[in-house]
Amino acid sequence: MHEFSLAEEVAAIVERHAKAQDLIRVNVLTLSVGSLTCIECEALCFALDVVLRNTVAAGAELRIEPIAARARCPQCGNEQEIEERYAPCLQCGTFGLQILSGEELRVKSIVGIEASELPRRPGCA
Amino acid sequence: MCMTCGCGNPYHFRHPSGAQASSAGAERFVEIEADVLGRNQETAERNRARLATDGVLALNLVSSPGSGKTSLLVETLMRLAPDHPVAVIEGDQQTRFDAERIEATGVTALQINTGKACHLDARQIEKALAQIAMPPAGYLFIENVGNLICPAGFDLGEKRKVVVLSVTEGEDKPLKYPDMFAASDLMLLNKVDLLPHLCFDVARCCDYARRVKPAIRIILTSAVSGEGLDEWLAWLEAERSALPKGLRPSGAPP
Repeated sequence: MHEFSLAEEVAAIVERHAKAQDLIRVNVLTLSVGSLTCIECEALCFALDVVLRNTVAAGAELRIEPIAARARCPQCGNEQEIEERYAPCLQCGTFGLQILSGEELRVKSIVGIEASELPRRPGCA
Repeated sequence: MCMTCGCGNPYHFRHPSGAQASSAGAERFVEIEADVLGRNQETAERNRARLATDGVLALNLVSSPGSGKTSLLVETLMRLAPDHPVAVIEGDQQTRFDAERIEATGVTALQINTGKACHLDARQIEKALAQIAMPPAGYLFIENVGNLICPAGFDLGEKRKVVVLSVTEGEDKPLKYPDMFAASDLMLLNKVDLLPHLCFDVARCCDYARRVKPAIRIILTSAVSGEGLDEWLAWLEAERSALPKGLRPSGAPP
């Protein structure tokens, strides 16, 4: 369950940026996840649910943007989409393709509400 | 599938709750693009720089549980420790058993219990480095939690990852858990003294490992018979000798 450690890192990043941007609530959290990362998205979602509970992002909508894995053959230079890390080159059969994308795990963006944009109660200054 | 609405969109995991949906005020989009493992990476680079300054060769030993990592390490230390400064960091979910086995060889061992976590991370190593008196120009072995998945993603600041695979595990492990083999520079194929009793295809196992990582070095080892240990010790010495010499403190052995 390394998803819990990752969720704690996500929460720290979200809280840091929300504070810097003066957001008092985060409604949407978008992550970019490469297809080669060893991440079970439902486990990550469950872990985020727990670790975000007492933060500005509690209950936020979670969006995951997948990033396809692409690799280049060191032998013939062919670029292709791959399903597994050990996939051979479709052109020449060489193993050990150089991974170009698919290993990403990033907090892409958040959508939130600024402190000043909350409706004020009548009578408040 | 969305856990809230079951909408079937594979990338939609949760709808906003009622409280969020009805919140007033304009929403603001904030682009972040931050690497989730960025903080671990920064700490790992600090560890690496510190170890390099001290001329210490740090290795991250990874494997599934029961591959014989600790026995192999004990045999290694008995051969290495008389002539070289060595320290060990042991990672396990619970107990000090492994640290006690290491300490029996006379080598300093620091046990980290990860509790709920399935891997060591760079911050734990940073804390450990502050606790152990790491001798300059020596070896630091970090025995990670027995797990072929999670430790692959967490850089500790080591110079090399060494994956230990035992012949009792099946030759297809490199393809089943490719991330770990892709992240490692050396594979120790361990417990080879048991090969006469098993249907384990060594050539196929090595072929699978090289499909994942063509440049991986492979050494066949046994802590029981001692096979391969000289080759493993020679690899260790070559790696330590290859450390940048200018960074070594003066007076330290070459």
